Amino acid sequence: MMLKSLIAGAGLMLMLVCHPAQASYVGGNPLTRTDPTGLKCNGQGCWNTPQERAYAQAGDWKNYYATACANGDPYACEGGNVANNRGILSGITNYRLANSISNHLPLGKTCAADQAIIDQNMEKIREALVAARAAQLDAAGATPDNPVMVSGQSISDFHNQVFSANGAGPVFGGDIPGANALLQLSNMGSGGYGWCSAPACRP
Amino acid sequence: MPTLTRRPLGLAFALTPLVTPLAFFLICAVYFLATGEVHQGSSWLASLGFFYLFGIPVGYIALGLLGWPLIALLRRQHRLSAVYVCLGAGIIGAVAFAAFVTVIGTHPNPGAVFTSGLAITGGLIAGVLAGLIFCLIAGVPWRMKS
Repeated sequence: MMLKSLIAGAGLMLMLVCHPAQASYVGGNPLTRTDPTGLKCNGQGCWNTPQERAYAQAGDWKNYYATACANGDPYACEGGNVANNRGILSGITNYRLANSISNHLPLGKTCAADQAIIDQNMEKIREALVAARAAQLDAAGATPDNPVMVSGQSISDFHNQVFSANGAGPVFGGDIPGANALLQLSNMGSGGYGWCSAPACRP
Repeated sequence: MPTLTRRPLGLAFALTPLVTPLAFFLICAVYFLATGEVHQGSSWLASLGFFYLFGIPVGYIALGLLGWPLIALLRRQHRLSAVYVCLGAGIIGAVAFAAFVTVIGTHPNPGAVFTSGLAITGGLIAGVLAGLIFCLIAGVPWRMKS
């Protein structure tokens, strides 16, 4: 019992010295690893809050990304940028995706009909991506007691699976070497996160 | 005023922004491979496309607005050497790169970008590289002959 307390105390001291912000984030009691504010990420990884899971399962990508980003998930911040088409890089990402859908459409329809299908599939992709992200964390057993930091490869995989299921090719922007560094630079004014940044993702 | 170079400067102004993205891409590719920022299915061709998509306009604008006056100044003062060109190009690269990432950023905060070590380092490397390529194309001597 005493040994346990000593180890716990040493761990707490180490965390307070090395990660004071994280310690204060969990109410100054990182040993319990509980989250009084309902956030979905800490230094070790992320998990779904009930509200975020509900948004994701309902396909409410706007609220999912906004809530998860505000709760400390850098992946959700970048996902929200792309889904809301914020910034030049998001514009290019969405253009590539729409172009890929267009290239997979059968010939012989009017431009307006093609555009309607593209818009419909883009929306389906946005909805499916938030559901896939929430499912990914749940499948990994992510909880406040067991935060999970997923791999970049796994995020790439579920993106390309969702694209494929909705009439597009494997055009996930994160597959472009250098994209993460460029995103980190372009988001420097708001935290310097990329699509694969800790605590949500490890490259 | 003598040109002080083995080949026309105009050729270097025209070609440098076309060659620099490829050279910068190769350096970055080595860095990405070394740091593991690649995974299965990584699209290298799209990455090269990004370097050219952004590199060409940024290169020509930086060369036109800042590089040209620098070269003119160095020629006027008879200091046109690769050392000075690369020094100036490094500074121009850092400024241009920081300005570029500010423009493409979703929440522009120039203060954060312009003081970012990553932006400054990336810009310095790209700038010095552009300076070296410029000097190679124009045949700018490494040092001025006294």
